[in-house]
Amino acid sequence: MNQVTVEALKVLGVGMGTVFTVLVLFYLIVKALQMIFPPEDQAQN
Amino acid sequence: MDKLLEGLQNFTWQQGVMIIVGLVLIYLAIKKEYEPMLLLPIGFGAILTNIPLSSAVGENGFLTILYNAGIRTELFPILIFIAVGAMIDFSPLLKQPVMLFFGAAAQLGIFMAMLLAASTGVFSLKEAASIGIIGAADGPTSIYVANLFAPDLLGPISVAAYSYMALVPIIQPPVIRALTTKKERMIRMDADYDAKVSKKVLILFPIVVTVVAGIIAPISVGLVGALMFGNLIRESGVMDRLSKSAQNELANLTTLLLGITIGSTMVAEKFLAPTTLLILGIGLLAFVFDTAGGVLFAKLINLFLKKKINPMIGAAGISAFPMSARVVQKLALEEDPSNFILMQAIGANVAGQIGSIIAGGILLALVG
Repeated sequence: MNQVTVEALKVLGVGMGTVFTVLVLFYLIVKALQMIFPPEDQAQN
Repeated sequence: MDKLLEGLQNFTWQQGVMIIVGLVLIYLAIKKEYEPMLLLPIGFGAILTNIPLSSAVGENGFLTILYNAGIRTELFPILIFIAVGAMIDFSPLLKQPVMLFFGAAAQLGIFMAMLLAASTGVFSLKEAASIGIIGAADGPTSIYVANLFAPDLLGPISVAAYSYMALVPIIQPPVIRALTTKKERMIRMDADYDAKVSKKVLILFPIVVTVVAGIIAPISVGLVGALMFGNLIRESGVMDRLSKSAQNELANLTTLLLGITIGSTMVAEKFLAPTTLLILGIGLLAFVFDTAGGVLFAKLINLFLKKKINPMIGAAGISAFPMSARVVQKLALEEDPSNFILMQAIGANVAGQIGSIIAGGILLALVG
């Protein structure tokens, strides 16, 4: 296995891990925003 | 007289082949309607650049001027991102934020294609990353990354990215069918899309995403920031005229110039190389891995869920919008004519647009 492949393998692991982490973070942010700002008609009730 | 024959004397068979490639792209655009807004200008740009002694390229050629002004500076992809941002409606995703996970899983193709390209021993890590980004299924992101990491490979990478995006309805179904059972493809999903999303959430989402993504990977601010700026214009509700301009005039004009300029990078000496075939092959596999990543991830989480998700939704987690969602809905209808999963697929598809741009930014941060 050449050096570039080893580096690519590392980028694959870290990259996919980071993509998931960031999108999980976005998920939590959306959930938090929806809790803080419920839809207008629900907020009125 | 000699002047008149100069073009003919300098004509090479390689240029002839590239003119034929340009004609094929124009044929696909007009006859088959595969991404005509891009393939037609790309095809014509390829013809213009491969005419011997073409005045369209070279120091004062208008294509070279456009390349230096719009591609080398990354201006065209950024303007396209603003336009795309103004076109995206994030509400299907915000109504079902769980779809964000599919937008992450379907980025597998980017990293697998990079690994494949690296393992050939032909490409450097930066070149491999540029080839991998074809799997983003997102033309501007591919151009943005390739231009930074491997400007020499920009031509084949952008042609592969746009061609395979157009071929999503052909590439995805066999992969989805191979990885799912008929029973899985018939799974129905609850319709959550009647839920409402607050206007404040729609406005805050692009701002928060930009700040968070920017702090994690500052190099992604150009990509994410432009997309989210376009979206903020749309959702603000106070810039209707500008939002419409971004969605129409800006998108059309930039697409036109981007396409013909990309075509001008298809110079015979650079394009007619074995590496081009390799890039086209790996690019195709990137789309296959994207689809497989999304479907397999959905099957994995189904192991822990009581109410199962239709695993085809995972395949819609790529950025090719709305083709991928349509493919998934079509396959669902083939198995059960009353099964409607389009809105869930649209949510995953929108998540894929965010996922691909985040993956592009992360790749820039990790490899740059």
